[in-house]
Amino acid sequence: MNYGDLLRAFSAETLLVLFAGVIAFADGWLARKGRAEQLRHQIASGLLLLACAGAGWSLVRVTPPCMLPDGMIVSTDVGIHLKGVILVLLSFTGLIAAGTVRTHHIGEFYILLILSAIGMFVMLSTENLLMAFVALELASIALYILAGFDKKDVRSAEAAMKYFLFGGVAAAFLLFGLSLVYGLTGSLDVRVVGRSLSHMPASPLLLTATVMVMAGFAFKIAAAPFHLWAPDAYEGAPVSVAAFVASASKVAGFALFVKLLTVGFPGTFLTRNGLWDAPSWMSLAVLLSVFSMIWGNVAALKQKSVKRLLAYSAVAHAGYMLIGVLAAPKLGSNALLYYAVTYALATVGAFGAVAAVEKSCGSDKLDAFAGLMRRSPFLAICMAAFILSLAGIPPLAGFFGKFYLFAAILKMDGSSLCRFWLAGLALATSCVSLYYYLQILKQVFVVEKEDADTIGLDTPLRWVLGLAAAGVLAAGLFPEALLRVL
Amino acid sequence: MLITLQHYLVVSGLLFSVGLAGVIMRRNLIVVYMCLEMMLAAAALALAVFSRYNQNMDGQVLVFFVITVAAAEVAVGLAIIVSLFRLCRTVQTKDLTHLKF
Amino acid sequence: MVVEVMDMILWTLYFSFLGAVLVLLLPGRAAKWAALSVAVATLAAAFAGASEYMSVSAQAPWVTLAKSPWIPSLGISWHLAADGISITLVLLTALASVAGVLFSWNVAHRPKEFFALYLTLIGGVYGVFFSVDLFLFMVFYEIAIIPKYFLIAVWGSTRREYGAMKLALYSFIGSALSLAGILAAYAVAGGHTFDLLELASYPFPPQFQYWAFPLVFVGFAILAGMWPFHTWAPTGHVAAPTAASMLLAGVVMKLGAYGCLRVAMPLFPIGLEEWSLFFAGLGVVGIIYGALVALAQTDFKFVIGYSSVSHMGFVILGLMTLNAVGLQGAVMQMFSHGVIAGLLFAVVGRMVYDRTHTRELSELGPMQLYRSMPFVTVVFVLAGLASMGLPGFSGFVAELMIVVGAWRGIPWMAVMAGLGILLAAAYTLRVMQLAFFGYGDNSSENSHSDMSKIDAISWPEKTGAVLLLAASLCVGLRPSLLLDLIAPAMNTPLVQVILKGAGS
Repeated sequence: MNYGDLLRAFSAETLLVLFAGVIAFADGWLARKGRAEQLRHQIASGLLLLACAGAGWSLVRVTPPCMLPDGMIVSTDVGIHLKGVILVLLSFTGLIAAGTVRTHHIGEFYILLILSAIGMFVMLSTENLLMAFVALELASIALYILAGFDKKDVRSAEAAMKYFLFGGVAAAFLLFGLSLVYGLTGSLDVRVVGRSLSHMPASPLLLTATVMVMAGFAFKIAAAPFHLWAPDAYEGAPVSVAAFVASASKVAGFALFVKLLTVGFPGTFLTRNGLWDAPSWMSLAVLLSVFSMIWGNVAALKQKSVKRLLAYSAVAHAGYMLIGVLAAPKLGSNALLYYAVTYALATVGAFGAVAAVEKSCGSDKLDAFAGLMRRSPFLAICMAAFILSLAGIPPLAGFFGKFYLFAAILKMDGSSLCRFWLAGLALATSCVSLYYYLQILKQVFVVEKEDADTIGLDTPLRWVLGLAAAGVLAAGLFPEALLRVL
Repeated sequence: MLITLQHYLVVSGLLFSVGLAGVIMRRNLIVVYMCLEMMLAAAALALAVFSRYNQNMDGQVLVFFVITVAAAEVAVGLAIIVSLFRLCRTVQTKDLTHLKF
Repeated sequence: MVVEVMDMILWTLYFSFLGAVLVLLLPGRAAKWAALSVAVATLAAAFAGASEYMSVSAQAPWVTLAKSPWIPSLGISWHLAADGISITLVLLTALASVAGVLFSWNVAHRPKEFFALYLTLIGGVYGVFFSVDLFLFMVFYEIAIIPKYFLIAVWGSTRREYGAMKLALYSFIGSALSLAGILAAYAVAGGHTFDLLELASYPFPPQFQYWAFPLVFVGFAILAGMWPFHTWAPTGHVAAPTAASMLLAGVVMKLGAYGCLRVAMPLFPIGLEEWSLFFAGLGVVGIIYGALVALAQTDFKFVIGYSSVSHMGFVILGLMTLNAVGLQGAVMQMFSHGVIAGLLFAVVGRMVYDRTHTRELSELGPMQLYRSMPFVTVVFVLAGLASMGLPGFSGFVAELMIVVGAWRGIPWMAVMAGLGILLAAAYTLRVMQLAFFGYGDNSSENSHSDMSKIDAISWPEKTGAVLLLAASLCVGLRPSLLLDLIAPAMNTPLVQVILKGAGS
């Protein structure tokens, strides 16, 4: 493979970097001219859209399926499709940000978004521990900065701080675990690692490595009990950043880790004998999943801030998605990825709606949503689509996502009761979740506010909400179309 | 005494544990950062040792990346501390109480 | 050729969902007219389909309406079919939906949303009655939950948000239970298909059936108001606006019973046999308990709410008799209760409460409503007689068949059910006396004069009441009208599984 091919393989990423540079120049020039911030936002987000379109085009047209030595870059069809999803989420985030982020460093905001997306791109296409670590850090560090972007608001700084600290610890755990894995197998190539681990007897070192990798993983995806950063980060960070953290970073994180775990740690499956078949990462994943589903859903019940509520619901959804991770070695990651993608779409939309409400009322508390149906029917109906999809009500995508996940875990072989209990618990907790999701919708549709003024939506946000809602509905009505590309 | 792989691993594990304990227990954000760095350094040490043990360079290459990433992380982390300090004049973890349910 | 004509009946489903969208697009004033025309159109489609089914039912009791792959990777298809049972319930839904629109003619608050949600609910109900694919079944089943919540929470009365949330959570928990059982069945059967016909012919191991059957059955029976999972029903009915309580009692509770009959029972015949006595017992407890509680209520609407629990107990008992007479009786009872409970709720919620603004029997009594509202009184007396199961009304045939069916299997339960009929007469007569005829003739003059300025009964109310009464009378006087629909359905594979399982 020569450098020309390499450039072609990386054309989407290269384009994104180039556009990041263009944004820096354009915004710097406009700032020096003293142009209005709104104009700078429009130009920068326009360029971001252009970058996404260009990268999407190059994904479709240019990128050949390729494979670098040591699994540095292994681009697969699924990876390319997920990159497309990341691009969609990136452009949605950019459009939400254009109307809502308060900052003077406008260019930098969009550049950091792009850099983070590039990190996610590499996460989606690498099968090498080194690349995985660097990509994860690239994506995360950019997000730490973004979380603290509202420099006037102490809550934003605190959110960034907490996100950073927990993220840093997670990275250290992950790296230490990876170093042990490297020590045991002598390779950073995930496939080689998987081959050597598959006939290696269980040892304390391997167990430590597994636990550490899982802990790092759990931090990143905000699975309980490693989720403590998530509510604070979601609440304090600018809404658009929270949307990006909750959606794109989750899709990329799950895609990366399910690859790492299924290829690199082909441990034992859940068997008749039970949970504790060391060195299986699966028993840990079961525990994480159980904790997340219970903790997330119960903690969400008493939240008053919608952003915090969405954060706890994100913890719960991480629990559901871990079920998909469990099913992946046997049945493929199809169910997990469908769930992750549709969840991301609904979450971006929900945060977009929160952004609109917060902009007009200055609050994201539940009662700020009161009478939304009167104040902006379009916003209310879109919000209903997102929330009902998160709750898993048909015909929206969330229902089929959950259905598929539970069917997948039940379809795994072995008559172990564990999977029945897991699926049962997941169904039970999703009943709990309906309560707090309906609390939001109660405010939106049922409560009536006499004096509330209408909420004006700017055009980009309107498009984001409309497209996301349409996407959630379409993915629910025609799941096969999405399943075929994942 | 021959210094073996085990010795290095014990040191690395100790470093990591000390770092983790510091992150959890220390109250000053700057010290917490240093402990965080210590955890990364522990991992880097283990990598270097394993690289030697496995007779290939992959681990040492990764160490370079780890150092770079750690530097980037510190830069960002310190910037976050500065921005936090500007707003609430403190670097103590116990004062981070603006976000609560 | 025949099948093409039968497609008519699917238009009930499409009309409802399209109608919901249409209502949202039209201006608010036209909403009720649009909703009425949609409901009437579905009624016409249902009648056309039913009469067409009558002519083919002898040769083909099971008519496939549509079948095409939907999500092939999980073996899910868009598979709709109808037999006598589902067509009976479709007819009931169509009748109840027309009457419901008529009785919500005075909804002035956010009418567009009201009728859009109303039609969505109806559409979900139709979808359930036609679905053969279990995924599709659950989709429609859950589609019906959310509109119920909003109908009650926005337009309801007493403790509406509590009642709405309780109803939504109970329904959702029920559907989650059923879903768990269905998914387990899917996995055990190899994970190739969600088609009910194929799954029903799969021999599930008895050990599995013993716990899967109660899971799925209870999941559906929650919505059917089976004791002790009935508590959503009275609070939900009372909180709901008139049209919604008519639909809740008239149609949504049937959704649960239909789920039991169509999904839980044929899927796990061995488990069914094992548990039938237990659930029959719960049904009987429901009959007696509902009737006794109804006897003690002071709120007019709660009386009707608990009477629904009692009547649905008959349905559960009928299902559990596991013989053809009992099953036919159960389906008849579903139809009959749907029509009568709808009418009773209309009288209480729309005709009485909207005019007197009270439902307390102690306050209604002195008003001597039989003087000021003769039409309402006549309607209520007739509906009450029907509810008691007097000959000439649909309830008589239905309850008689259930008791006969039960007598063949479990005689003492038949006796208890007979006792339930007596109790029904008691609470109906009591409420009739207390609400309409007061405490005697020495009523105070001023309360009477208060009543003189109430609104007259409007034409939509009269039409709706006559429609429902006529339905009950027709079926009561000529049961063969419905039995000709239901009886052929006893020969379909899904029902045969139940009957054979019991015979062997």
